[in-house]
Amino acid sequence: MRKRVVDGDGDGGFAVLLDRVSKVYGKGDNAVAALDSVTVGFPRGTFTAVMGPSGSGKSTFLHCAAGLDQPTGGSVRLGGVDLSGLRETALTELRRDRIGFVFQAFNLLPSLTVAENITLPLRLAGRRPDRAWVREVTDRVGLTNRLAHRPSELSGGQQQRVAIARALVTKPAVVFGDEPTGALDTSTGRDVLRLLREVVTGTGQTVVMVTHDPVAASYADKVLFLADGRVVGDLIRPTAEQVADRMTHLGAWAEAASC
Amino acid sequence: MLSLALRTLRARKGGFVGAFVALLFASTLVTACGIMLESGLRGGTPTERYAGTAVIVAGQQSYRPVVTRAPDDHTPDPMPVGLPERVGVDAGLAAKIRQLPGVARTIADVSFPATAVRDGQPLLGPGGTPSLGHGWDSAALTPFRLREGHEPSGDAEVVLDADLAGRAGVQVGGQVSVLVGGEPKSFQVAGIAEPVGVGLAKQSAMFFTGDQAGKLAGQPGRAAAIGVLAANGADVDELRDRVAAVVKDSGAVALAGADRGAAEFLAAGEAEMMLITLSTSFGGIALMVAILVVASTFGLSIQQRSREVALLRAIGTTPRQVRKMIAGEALAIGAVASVLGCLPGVALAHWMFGQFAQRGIVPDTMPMHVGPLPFAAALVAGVLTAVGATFAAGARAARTKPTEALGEAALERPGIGRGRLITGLVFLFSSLTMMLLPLVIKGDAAAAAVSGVVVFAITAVALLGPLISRRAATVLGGVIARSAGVSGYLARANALNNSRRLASAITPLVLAIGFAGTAIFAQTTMLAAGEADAVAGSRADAVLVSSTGGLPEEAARDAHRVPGVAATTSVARTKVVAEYTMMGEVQVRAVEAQAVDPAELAETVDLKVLTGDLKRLHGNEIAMSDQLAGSMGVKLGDTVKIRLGDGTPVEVKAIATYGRNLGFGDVVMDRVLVAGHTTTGLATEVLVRNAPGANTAAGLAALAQRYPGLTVVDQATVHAQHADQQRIAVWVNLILAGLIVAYTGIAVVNTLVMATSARVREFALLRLIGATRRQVLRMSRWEGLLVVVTSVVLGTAVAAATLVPFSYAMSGSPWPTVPPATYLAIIGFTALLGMIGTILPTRLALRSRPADAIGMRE
Repeated sequence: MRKRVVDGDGDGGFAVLLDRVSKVYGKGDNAVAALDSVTVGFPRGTFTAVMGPSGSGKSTFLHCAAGLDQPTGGSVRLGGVDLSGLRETALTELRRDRIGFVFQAFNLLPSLTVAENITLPLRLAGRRPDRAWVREVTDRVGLTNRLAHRPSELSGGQQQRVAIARALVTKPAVVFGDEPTGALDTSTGRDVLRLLREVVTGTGQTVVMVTHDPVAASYADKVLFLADGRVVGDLIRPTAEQVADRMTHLGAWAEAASC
Repeated sequence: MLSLALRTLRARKGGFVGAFVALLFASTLVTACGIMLESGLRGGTPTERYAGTAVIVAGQQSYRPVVTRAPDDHTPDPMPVGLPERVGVDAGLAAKIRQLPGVARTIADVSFPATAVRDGQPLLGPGGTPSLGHGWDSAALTPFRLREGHEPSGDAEVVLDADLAGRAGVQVGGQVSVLVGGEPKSFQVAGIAEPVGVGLAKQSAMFFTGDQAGKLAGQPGRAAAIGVLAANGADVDELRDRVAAVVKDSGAVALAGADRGAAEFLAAGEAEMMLITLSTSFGGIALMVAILVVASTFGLSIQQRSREVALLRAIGTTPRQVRKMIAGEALAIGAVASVLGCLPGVALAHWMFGQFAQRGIVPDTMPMHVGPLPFAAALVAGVLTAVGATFAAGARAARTKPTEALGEAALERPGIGRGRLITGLVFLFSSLTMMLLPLVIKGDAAAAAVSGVVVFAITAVALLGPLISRRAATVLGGVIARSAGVSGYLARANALNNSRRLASAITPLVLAIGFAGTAIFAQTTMLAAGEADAVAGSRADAVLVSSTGGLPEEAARDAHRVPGVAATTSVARTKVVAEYTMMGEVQVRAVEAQAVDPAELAETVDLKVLTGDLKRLHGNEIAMSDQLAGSMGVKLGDTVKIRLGDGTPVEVKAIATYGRNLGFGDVVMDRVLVAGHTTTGLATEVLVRNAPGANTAAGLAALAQRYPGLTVVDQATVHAQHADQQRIAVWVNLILAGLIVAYTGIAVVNTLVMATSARVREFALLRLIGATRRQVLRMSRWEGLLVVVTSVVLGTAVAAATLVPFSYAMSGSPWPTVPPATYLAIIGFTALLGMIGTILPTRLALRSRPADAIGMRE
């Protein structure tokens, strides 16, 4: 049965809260710590970018924060619910209700129309789509006149907008993005980022996005830097230059550390 | 392009497993059929009584019509039909052959049923095999050596083989009762002989004087065969060629070595013919199924790689090169699969041979030949099948536009190409036309034409598959989506937009149901119709049969004298060869025939006469089934040429047509017509009709005193024995159906596994946006159900499209006999395959964590 422990303000306004989260792959001498006691919280209504060089633990961080993977240590609380100890079905239902996803590619089901793709999470949850809300979401992403199209008839940027609309339709506690602009050209990518920014500012949605693009990160309220499985710094209201500068140092630092 | 093809194969093993397994299985079947075909062609049932000869001259035991054709007409000639009665040779040829160099001696051999009787019981050969009489000269053919006594020197003397003498309990100088021509006569045992260097496992032998044997055989101037003994040092093959040249004009053949057995044992020749027919039809169907299955699996694997192909096109690969690459892949897979399929093919051939022998379809002494030819044939057929089957897929792949590489979502192109649509419609239309044939023509010819419907209809289904499955998805999907929540809703959307994928699963399932249903139920329909005919047509109260090869005409007359017997009819079952032209092609068929004493026929049998009058049945005036008459285009009063069971052509006049051909054969004629043209010259059975209220059981049973081996049975027993032979045909078709279902089973599972495992990312995405494992499983279960229901409906339709006209052609009733349990077993099994093939790979695909799976490249 569903575990639903909602203790609203228990997390002090954080949509997602990671407490000393570790993830170790392998055993004994071969053990590799992808995440090493990471503690971080994402306040509601904020847009956070997570950056770091390859192998810094970005993906593992995202998977653990989103309940796709269980950490080996520490706890993840999502909208007031402790994810550790939840079984697969309960986790799936929690994800369905509390989390939206936007990926780099293969985001949509090719057999379904735009409208069907957007409302699919609601249907999976057995909920009736609230027409007004669906309309608002599609208006927001600017796809109202494309609802009957199939994904294959849309451009990459439009497809990503559909994915964002789908992520928003369940009114989730947090939307996770995994390189959401990675497969798009610069100007289309900007449109998508602007849309995410607007969603945060306009509706108070929480967005956490993993990226390696300093320009993308500059749309966020805050950038979190990861290296070797640890949070090694952050920037508030960053510019692209600041981020790029920090990344250059991080890259050098990571290279030096790995020698 | 071949190296690229090989690399692709190595990298994408999964996608090719389906085509590979299908080709492997095809190669196994073709090898097995090839081995059976070769064994049938080579024959080689070891000879017993002709073991001492170098060459045997015998009649040609098959008939092949001479067809004159224009030089550019390459239509294959009709297959020869086997002749059931011994053809024999002109005994006068012996003297001519004797003149040839290298010939030491020639012996004209006669052979006739001759059974010793002890205590009123006939003594057959070992294991119920026949006991045969010959002239003493024939002893040299084996050779037999006198152990005791001397050769027969008078008409009343006989020499027995040692085994028979022992069983008969007679000594040289003693008397033995021998049943020849159906009547027991007393002979003096002149000597006891034993074969040298060979055993008699399939007969007993007794020898009379040459004159007496000629009289008893009853065919003056004819011999069963002529044995040629070679002079010292003569080369057997050269000798055979010289003899063959001499006897060619008389229509006889010269046999040496392993071929001699066929001249001695007619059943062996029949078995060989049967193996040839069976293996060619099995092999042909196997290849056809292989082409459909490989085309379908390859088509799917290419569709799944459409982005890869588009990428190749984008970086400068020409359409021609793409086509070559696909052909290269097919070539490599076809070659490897064919080679690997050969070994299990040998095992399969062994198994089938064993089964055939066990059921008496082939003699268990018949050797199996495993030569290199079947393997070569399997290899060539496998490669050609693979390359041919991928032709369409290659052409489609070559049309891929480079821009498709850039598209994000891989949604298939809707609809099918125009060429495919037209071809599919042509096949569909052809099968519909063929279905209607029985309304115009009658009988076996119509039934044979109708059996093509299944092939055409299935090809049409394969070609029009995507359209059909889209239609099915619309109809069934609507129901599923309404009643099954979000899983059904997704299943419907997937089915609607992946009609090609759906079709590649539906086609093999339809194939399995269609083929298996047709093969099995055509037989059950025939069997049931035959039984109904035999029961409805019989008016006899008792039937006399014999274990000694047959009953003489006197037995019928004696039976008539039994008090209370109202009528008797002697019946000799044989075959006649009918030759006619149908749709421009010469058809030759050996049809069942009964040679009867026509006097009281109307009392004992009701043939359901349709036109004419059986009372006129006499001499060369015969009755034909309306089916045969229809096939041959014969009208009442027409004179036609048919061939008797030994190939002798006779002019006959059709004076009646009748309806009960399934129970009584296609020709009923006067026994006078076949006198001297059957191997035994005896009746197979005597039908007895009692006077109303009379009890003749005791009187008829007493006849066994006079005719050793005679038994009185009822019509049901006779029919059951007769039906046993048809049951063998049912069994053969069951095996055929089993092989096809097993084959398509493999194909179905492969197709579904391929189709489903390509959807790992789709399932992962579904789970990431909130679908539970159970919802995904339920969705795939609904998709599987949609496939299965569509296949069952289509498969049943295809089978019915064949069976209804078939039944109408055979029995006049449009309702085929379909045992519900068998039907349920067929559709149950295919449904199970379909469901397992969908659910199992989905379960496997759901094992990987969605976050990992979504990151995977296609």
